[in-house]
Amino acid sequence: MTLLLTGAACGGSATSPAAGGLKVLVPVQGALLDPTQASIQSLGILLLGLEPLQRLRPDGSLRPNLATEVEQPDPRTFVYTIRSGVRFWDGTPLTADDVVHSFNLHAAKGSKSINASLWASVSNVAKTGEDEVTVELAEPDPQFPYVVAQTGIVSKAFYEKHKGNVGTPAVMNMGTGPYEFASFKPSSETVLRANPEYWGDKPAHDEVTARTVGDDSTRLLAVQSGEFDGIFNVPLNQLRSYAGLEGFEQAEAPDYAVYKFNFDTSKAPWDDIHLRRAVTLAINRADLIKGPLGGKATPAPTLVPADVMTTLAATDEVSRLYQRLESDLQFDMKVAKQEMARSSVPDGVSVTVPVTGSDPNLSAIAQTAAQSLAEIGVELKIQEVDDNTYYDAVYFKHTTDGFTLDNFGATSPDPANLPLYCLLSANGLPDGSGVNIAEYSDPQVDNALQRSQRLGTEDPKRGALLLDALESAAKDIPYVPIAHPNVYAVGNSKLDLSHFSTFWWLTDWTRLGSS
Amino acid sequence: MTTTTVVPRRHPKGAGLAPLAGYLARRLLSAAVVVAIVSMLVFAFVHAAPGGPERSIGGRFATAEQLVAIREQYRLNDPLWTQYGQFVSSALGLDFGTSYSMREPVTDSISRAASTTVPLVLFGWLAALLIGTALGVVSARHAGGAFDRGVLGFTVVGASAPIFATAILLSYVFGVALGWLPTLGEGDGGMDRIRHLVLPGVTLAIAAMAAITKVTKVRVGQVLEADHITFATARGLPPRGVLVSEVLRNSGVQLVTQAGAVLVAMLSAVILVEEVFDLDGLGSLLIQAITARDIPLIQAITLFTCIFIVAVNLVVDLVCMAIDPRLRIGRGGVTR
Repeated sequence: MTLLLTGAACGGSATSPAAGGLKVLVPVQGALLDPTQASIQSLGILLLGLEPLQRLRPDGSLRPNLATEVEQPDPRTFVYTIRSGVRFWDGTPLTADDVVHSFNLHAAKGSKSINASLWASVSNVAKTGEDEVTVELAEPDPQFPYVVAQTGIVSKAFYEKHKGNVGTPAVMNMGTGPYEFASFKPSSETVLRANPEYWGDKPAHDEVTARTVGDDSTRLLAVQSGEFDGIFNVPLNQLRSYAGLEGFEQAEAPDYAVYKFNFDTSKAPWDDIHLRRAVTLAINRADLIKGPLGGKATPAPTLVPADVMTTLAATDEVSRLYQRLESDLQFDMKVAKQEMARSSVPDGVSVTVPVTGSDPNLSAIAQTAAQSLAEIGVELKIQEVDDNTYYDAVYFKHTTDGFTLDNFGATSPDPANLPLYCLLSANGLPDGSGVNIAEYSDPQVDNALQRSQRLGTEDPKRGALLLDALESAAKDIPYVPIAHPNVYAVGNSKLDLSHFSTFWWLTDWTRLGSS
Repeated sequence: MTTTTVVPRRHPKGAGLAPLAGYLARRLLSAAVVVAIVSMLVFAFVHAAPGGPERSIGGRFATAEQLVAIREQYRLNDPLWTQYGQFVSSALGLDFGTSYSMREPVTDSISRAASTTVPLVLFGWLAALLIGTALGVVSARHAGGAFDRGVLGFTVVGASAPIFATAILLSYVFGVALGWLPTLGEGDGGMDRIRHLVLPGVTLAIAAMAAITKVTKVRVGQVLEADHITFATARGLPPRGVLVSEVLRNSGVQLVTQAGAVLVAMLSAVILVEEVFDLDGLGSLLIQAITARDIPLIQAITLFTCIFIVAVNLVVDLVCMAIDPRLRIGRGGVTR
């Protein structure tokens, strides 16, 4: 069946832009049209209707949106001037109260928002003028502007009127964006129609339909048949099938994500540095990139891609450190066997590695790595489980055998995003969220990361501190970074992908080329 | 050799209703027990599965306090039997609770999904029933001929092809190559809904048709060889009359039983069809609910499914008894 689809794709069945607005396939949608229940890519739909105060540009910078001005009198205070004359779709004016309400959905004590952890540094949100909102942070947080950029502003009155039913198909939500919600099928389809009274540039399309399709073949057929104008986040294993579609162009961008093996350093035998080093050197990362990832990724010497790190640190410093880290990860079976002999398990170890079917690359990477790891006596038993089981074992409870594989993506373009999640001891269990899968704890790394958090968003000293943290952590090998995958989108003439980036969901992606 | 023949007793008008009512009562009672056991098992399995609903609701970065608050809000810390008892008492009042993930009454989610699944299954089932029975009858009457061999080939291919392969093939041919029909989605109602459900319905029908055709052909073939058919034909009865009043009537029990079995089997097939055609039906909703550990939704869907299966089996038994009086033994029939 794969052959049939591939052949058909390469044959280039004639396709034409779908009639009736823009129709795209997106990787994920929320079960509710509610900013408290949507994160990362599922925000791509929500933020078209529920606009943020600041909007991400395709180049990664932030531009004014519902806030005309942002002042930061000190590292802990942000003052937003709200744009005047903006109205919700029901005609009511946008006020500072709406902004305070929207922020407090995540920041208020007892919030059940899935984004509450992003707002954890906020100590107070207050209306400080007719069109002014001030946010005070308990601790400086250089990533906070990106948090604001992914927070949709909603109508306070609408929430009060509909109480617990906001976001359901019957009620939906109320925003000020260029598109208003026309219909919603939970986790599946959202239809938005252009807001004729929009305060900004006229919406690029009369109607936008975003659909999430789980089956690979169905997605391909939907684009091939011309029913959809494009697709975001094309699975790597299907790139070739999409490449031959007539009338469609493919866009590529580096993803701020990393495929990595994780050692639980609190759990035997993975608390043994010799075993960790043996495993690291026995994994042929180049083969994994060439094979399972189809060459559509770049080697990862550490958690943060070089092009992300250079937005904050000097290019030559980044380059020097990354070369050194890369050389420490080079495949060397001879040294791997020597390290294994010195470890606490010289006769080998057997470990079950859970993978989730929603990312088929995980299984392929694990199976390929298992072959070379078997040579040093490390037996991988790969177990495919559903998403919930995988997340529960790998992230939330750390109930695995201590050796896992994941693809961890950043929630904002800030270079500190992944190091903070993966290396800060506070993110280990039992008190943290558990995304520090390695249970890594090092005072020097914690110190560097915490100091970097006290600086301004664009302060270059942050870059130096982050490099220090990455270098120190690498010596302890809590992770084996494999690769930073590329991210792909495919679109016809209706979907301008000329400025496509991995954070497309934070931009006005209906007009990527000009936003 | 001793032969036993069942002779239905002739009752005065209304005299057979009391045993029938008793039979129905016994069946309904046993059905209630089956539904209760299934619902308890599902409840236990959902709670035993790794990853709780609080993780789906709280998200990847939920704090410990958030998780505690969510568990308290949904009373997930109550003992299991208390939670189950609450579910049962609410369900008896036709209140199946609110979906954790969609924040709407579970019945709203189910009725929205059913508006796709019910017409889809009905279309697939009726098409399979009518065409499959017709093919089976004609094939039996022309056993060994070209038509029979063609039908045999069709049933072999139809029965052995995985349903997702049939779905993708149809989708490619009629959706991509010919561009006649949409390849995914359930449409916006009315004619648009019908257009969207044609390919999924045909996929379901093809899968089910093979089984119906085969059973019909075999059973009708057996009946056609029976002596009473030969006598009826020899007496000069018209072929159509023989077919309807003798052949189909004598094949009825097997055909009705098969039709019921196919309808039940379609419930699992429709999950695959909904996946391939990306339909927001009951199968997709169940998968979504399981992924999110949305306990009220899982409980309600499995409960309704169980009731449906029990009901289909009951109806099949009643129809079979109506067709064949011998099956009424113990409810008014006698042996001698």
